[in-house]
Amino acid sequence: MPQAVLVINKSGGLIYHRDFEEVEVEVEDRNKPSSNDLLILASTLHSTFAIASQLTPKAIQLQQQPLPNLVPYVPMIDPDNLVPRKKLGSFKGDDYFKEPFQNWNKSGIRSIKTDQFTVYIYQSLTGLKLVAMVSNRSDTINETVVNNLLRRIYCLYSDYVMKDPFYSLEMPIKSELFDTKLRNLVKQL
Amino acid sequence: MSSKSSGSAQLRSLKIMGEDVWKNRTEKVNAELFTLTYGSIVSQLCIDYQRDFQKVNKQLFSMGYNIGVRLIEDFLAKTALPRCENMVKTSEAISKCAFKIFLNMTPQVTNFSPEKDAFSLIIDENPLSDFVELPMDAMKQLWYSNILCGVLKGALQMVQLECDVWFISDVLKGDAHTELRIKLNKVLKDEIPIGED
Amino acid sequence: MAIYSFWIFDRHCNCIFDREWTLSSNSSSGTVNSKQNEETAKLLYGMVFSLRSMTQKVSSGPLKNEIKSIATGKYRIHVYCTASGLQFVLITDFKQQSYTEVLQYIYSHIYVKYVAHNLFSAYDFADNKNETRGQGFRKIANRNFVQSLESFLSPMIVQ
Repeated sequence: MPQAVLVINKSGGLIYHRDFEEVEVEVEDRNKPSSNDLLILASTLHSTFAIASQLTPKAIQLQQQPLPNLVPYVPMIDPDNLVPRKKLGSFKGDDYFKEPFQNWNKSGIRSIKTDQFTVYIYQSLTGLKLVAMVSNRSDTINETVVNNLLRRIYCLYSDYVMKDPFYSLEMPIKSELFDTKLRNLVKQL
Repeated sequence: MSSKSSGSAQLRSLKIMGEDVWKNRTEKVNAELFTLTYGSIVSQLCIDYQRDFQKVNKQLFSMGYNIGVRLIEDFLAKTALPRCENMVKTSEAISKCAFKIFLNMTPQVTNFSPEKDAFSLIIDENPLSDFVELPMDAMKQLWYSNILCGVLKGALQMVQLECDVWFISDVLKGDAHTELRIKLNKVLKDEIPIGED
Repeated sequence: MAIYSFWIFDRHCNCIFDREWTLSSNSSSGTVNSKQNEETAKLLYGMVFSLRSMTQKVSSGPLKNEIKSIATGKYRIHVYCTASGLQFVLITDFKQQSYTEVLQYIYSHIYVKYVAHNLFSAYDFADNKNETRGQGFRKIANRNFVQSLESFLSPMIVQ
């Protein structure tokens, strides 16, 4: 269960942010980052993402061996057993995708690990970045699981945000449908 | 020899992927409804612009462009295809996957330019123009399916390929076949550094 | 398990030591404190610094939240920060998840022993107290330090 999900557009601006908090966290100790902090976070991630590719060590540049890039498929589990034939927007069937996929993110930052949490970044071919912050407490969550989750969120984005005719590109996402669907998806992790 | 066989293996897998996504993973809508909706858009535009078909063409193109910039995310979310290294691969991805998934047709890819940066798509059965016959004045100037040009241009622009897309011939105008030409102008390199182009 | 390079940054934001292994099969290849790496050092420090301040802003709770590693598609960066403002950075491949113990050992047994305890070597590598702009600073040139570092890390370079 991720702590937070952010969506960053092509130019590095934060267009969506959602916290998913578990109930046990003590509220007094947590100093919630302000919205300004989050904007700074998003643009910092965006720029360091670009710097990371320039820091590729010479040893790898000389090696020129393509590194494995495939993300194995992790199916969605459904603990609450919601409606068995739930509609997945424009995706037919019971899951958004069923095969392992190529990770588009070859030399940008994929994850940042700290003491308390890990930040995972998934970038699409169009430059959109999906960021998930996951606490380190759970053992089952690793990079593969989060990449699958982020790809599913990308499918939701392509449906509920892109197909909304009143949504202007690169602007903050205000769609409630997207919000609700995202929360349901995350609950199923 | 081995690269040729891996190339055809990749083509086959694109074809299989396109068919699989089309059959099993997309919700479908009635084709007549789609054709009628598009037809009513074009005829209303003709009325609104008082039969100035150049303006209608332009408007169809910009509508298509707006669709294309959004549709590409849907395409990428459904297929997760890796970046195409050259225009040959791009043309195959467009014809075998994209057209198959969204319109259930596979146009033929032909007429590659010598530098391999331009190609033509020959469309056999255009679902947009089922049952359509153009009036005499429209026949000379209107590109009925111009929205497709806009969609392709918008979608390719979002994956950093700046292209020109235009119709060369159209069966509705009396030509032998419907041909769409795509030419790569440049690759937009101010891209996010994730992979090679 | 391959190590690509090793860096030490001090609290004045300067790189006071860098060692790069350009051929992962040869543990004596590569450069020590080379001038070409200065740009890379600045980029690396900037990236680590901004990510670190960002994660500290977002973190919750009374415990300090230090950044441990940054992974890209091609390599992984491991960071170990000390309370005195020193940062030990290691760039490696993906075979091992955590190099914290390695970096801790380098700090406590190699750096402290040969640099901090050595009364003839500076403890603050800036030329003067007010140095902040990355102009006047020295690098660690202590032979014992370099030697023991090599002997400690060389077995780990081999793929």
